[in-house]
Amino acid sequence: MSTLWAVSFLTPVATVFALGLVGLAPDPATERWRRRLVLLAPATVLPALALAFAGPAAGAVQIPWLLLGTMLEVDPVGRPLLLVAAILYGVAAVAVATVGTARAPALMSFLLVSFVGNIGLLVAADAVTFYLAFAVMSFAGFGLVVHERTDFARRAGRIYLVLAVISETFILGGLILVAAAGGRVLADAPAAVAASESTGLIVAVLLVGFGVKAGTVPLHVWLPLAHPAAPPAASAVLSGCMIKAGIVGWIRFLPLGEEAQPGWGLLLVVLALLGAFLAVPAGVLQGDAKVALAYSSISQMGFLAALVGVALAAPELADAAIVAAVLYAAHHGLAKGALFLGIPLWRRYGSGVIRWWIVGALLGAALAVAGAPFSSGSVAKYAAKGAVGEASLLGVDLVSLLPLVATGSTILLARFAFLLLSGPRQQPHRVDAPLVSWSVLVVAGISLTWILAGEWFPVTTVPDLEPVTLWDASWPILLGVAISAVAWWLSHHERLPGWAAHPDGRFLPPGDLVVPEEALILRVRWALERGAARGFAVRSALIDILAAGVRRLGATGSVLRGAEQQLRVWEVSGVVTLGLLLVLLGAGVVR
Amino acid sequence: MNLTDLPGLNYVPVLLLMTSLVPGVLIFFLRDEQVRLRTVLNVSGAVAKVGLVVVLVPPIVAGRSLEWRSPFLPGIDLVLRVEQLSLLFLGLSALLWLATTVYAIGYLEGSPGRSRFFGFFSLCVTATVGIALAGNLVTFVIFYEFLTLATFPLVAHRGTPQAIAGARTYLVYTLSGGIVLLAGVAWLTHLVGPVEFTAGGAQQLAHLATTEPRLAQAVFVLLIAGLAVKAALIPVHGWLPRAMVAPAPVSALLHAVAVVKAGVFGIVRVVHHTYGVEVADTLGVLLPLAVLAAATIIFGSTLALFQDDLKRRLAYSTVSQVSYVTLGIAVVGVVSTTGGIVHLVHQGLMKITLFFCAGLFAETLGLHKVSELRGVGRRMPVTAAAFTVGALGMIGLPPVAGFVSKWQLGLGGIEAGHPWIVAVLLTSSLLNAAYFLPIVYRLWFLDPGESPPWEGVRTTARRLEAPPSLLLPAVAAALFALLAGLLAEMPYSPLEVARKIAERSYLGL
Repeated sequence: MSTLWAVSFLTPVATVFALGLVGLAPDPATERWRRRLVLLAPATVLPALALAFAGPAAGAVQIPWLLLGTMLEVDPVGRPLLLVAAILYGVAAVAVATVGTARAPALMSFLLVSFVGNIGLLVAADAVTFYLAFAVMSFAGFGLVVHERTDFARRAGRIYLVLAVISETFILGGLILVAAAGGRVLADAPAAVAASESTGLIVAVLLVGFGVKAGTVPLHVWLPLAHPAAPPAASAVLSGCMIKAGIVGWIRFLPLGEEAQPGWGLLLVVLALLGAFLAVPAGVLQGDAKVALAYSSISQMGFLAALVGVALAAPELADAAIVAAVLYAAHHGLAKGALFLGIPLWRRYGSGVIRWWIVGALLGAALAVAGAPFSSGSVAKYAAKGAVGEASLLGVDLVSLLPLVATGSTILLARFAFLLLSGPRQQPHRVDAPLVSWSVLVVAGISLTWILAGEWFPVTTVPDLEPVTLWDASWPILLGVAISAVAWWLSHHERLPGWAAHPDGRFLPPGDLVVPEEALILRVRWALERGAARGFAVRSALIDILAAGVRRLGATGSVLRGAEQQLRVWEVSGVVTLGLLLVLLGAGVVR
Repeated sequence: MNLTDLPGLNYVPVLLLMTSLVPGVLIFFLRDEQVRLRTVLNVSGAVAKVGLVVVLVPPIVAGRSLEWRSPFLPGIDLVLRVEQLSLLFLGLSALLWLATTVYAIGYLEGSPGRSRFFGFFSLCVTATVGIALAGNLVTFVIFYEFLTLATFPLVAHRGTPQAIAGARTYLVYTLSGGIVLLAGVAWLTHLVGPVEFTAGGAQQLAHLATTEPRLAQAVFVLLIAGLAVKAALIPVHGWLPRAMVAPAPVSALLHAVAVVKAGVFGIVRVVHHTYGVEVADTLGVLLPLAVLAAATIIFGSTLALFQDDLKRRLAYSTVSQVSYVTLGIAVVGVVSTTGGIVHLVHQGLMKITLFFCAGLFAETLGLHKVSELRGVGRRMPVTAAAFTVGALGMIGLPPVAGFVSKWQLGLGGIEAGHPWIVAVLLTSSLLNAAYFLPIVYRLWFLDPGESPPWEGVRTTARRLEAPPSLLLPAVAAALFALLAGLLAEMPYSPLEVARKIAERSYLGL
């Protein structure tokens, strides 16, 4: 089995290296090799797929000499998401490899590196390996976001990178604290954090660190910019897999099920629900289908974060909440990936016969995201409902709030559908590999959560299709459809103000909060630079005064006269600073 | 075969010195045109040293030591000793000397004054080896001063007014520091007699600290103040950015292994092998040192942000990074000490990579400024890749070596009850990212534009992007920086050796 482990990681890495090496000497012969490698690249996800199916049978791996001692294992949390990652990255890679993507080798390389990081963090069994994998994924993600090299993509990339660096820094700090508390091995981490003296600090740091990735308000601002900027295949893995890493991080390191953290739990639930609901108006006001989908992801991630918040606040609900979060993350990953990957397909096939299959499949995926009966979403939402149990927020039962997230999703997806279907499309195209692999993804996505729920998580019962459950799953969606229909009717008959009737992303620009934040940062930077310039000026003025003093001294004594000619400003500053150091150190010692 | 049973084995430390001293002296007598002979001398000396060190690694790491001593002053011996800490520093300097020699041969090809350059270059390495091997304070001071003098002609090598000015700044700073250090050593020797470096601290110092704590503190301050100049602690760091006028291989050596490292290595020797960490702790001198190091870390990183000149940015980055070592050894605890000591090696590997790359950009394309590096990744992908490895390592991202140091230092800080150290490290990480990532971004993600600044620049390289003698050392250094992190838990890795050294420091506790 260790061969399978090695192959899972080394094949994509070796492919990236080969692509890089071949790219060093561009000429027609190597160009052919590059094309071949790009075509072969999607197959490199297959070992990881096998690893997911093998599950616990793949065994735990320990590599004591690698990094600070590397441990890997496929556990119940990582397994479903590993499966999703293998499928989604595979389909995305097929799309990159076969449709005429600009600079496909570069995009494929970043995609594969992200993949390695992504599966690495899912199977990592110790904190250092987790951090390594997380960092690899985050930084490779930057390459995906800026791939188009447009000004828009560069701005999105800049914001992505700034937030990624902040997130990495907080995560590193959090993991150092976790490790110092005795949680180097992930299996021990939650208990170690709970037993630590600084549990609150660790929880706070980790909420910020992973919150950036999970798109928790107010750290979500990179999402609505990064998704439309990246090529669709990259957006699919970004939304489908990468942002789930934040949730995985929380599950791995927060003291879930160990110690109640009602304060932090409540804070997370509040922020999560804020995101879940505020994303709806923000997304509806957008004029780009991909931005609308990005806000839908923020909304859905809010739902997931709320589950984590419940687990944080109520240890007795933690096990169920974790299972629900993992199932929901897996389901949302596949369905949202299918929606993103469907965008270019619709544009390509939008005027032929195949469009009916595409519209039908997109509708299926959208209904799954919303949680319609019979779909994977309903299973996941049912699990979540069971998990939330008695938890309440400010007197309101969470159970009665969560279905409204589905209503919000429905409205966002209706907006997405409107934008997509009214957008441009090309002449019909013949059936190609991306279409086939995408179709597999849709079918798998809609059916997989069912199988997973039954096979890998025997604790969760698949909802019996009783009338009550059917109705429970249906009304939020019907409500969303009704609201969307009313909104459409109102705007169609010009009964709404212009900014709401035909929103184009100008009233509320994508990234919402990021716009004033950028302005603020620019102002701070300007102030800093001015301050620094003033500081340098003061310093050189001081040194000038000192130098003048020394020169005067030198002029008085004949002994010093020779030295006077040698003296330069810097020499004075050297001696003076040395004296200063002595005084400083002395002051520290003689307390 | 038992290594220590061989006769004459105690001359090995002297032999180690000779591998660079002899070629150095011989090279002074060569004419500039005698390239082949000079190269043979240089490279064979460097290879011989690496070979010697490799042979020494297993027995020394296992705990053996080799010692050579000879009477020097009345009552004071000249002592050269190979033990674990000297081996670590020796290994670093031997490896990087070989790489830098190859690089310098390529870099200075055809320029005047090469025999003088390589002569002093070898003397500089001799001094570094002496510092690594010094077994007592007096021997240390001798080689420390020798290093100052041997490096001056290297910094001034180009002979331009800026080069002379930079070199003189360097000399004034380091000589002043040297005088303070000498005063400290003389005072200490006067108080307690000659002090031998001992793991866990010398007995005489423990005695002095109990009988005359004020005196012990004063001497400590004097010693550290003297060493602080080369270790570039604020406020005596000013010479380092100004010494940037030196040719790239000199800067590389200066920042990675020779001068700056000699300073922090001295601090390690004073804290751990002279006073002993527990004695220093009871004297209350460690916390101020840690705070000073922390301040230097933040200060250096902040100033680096404002530099457009690539080498100046790297210089301020050194100010910051080298203080990680001081921070690590000023905090009590095995983990922190390990982190500090291992960063001696890790910082050297990463920084030499960065300077090699800066030299490659300057030499091949004539680029000196960060703002000129747009799209260079397309023209020089291998160099840009090596630079990226070094930069990510400096930020502290795994699997590059810098992460391992940062992790140890952070854990050690918490273990010692100083969680603020984690905050300092993270702030430094953020700042490092803020001044390194824009460079990486420019290299890879910006277009060179219609007429890149290097258009029309001719290079001697045909198939490769740069002459192999410059490219190979950069790639090798980057690989070492990567492997030191990736294989941190392998036997004989820098981390493992550093851990052994740290554990011995605390054996007496």
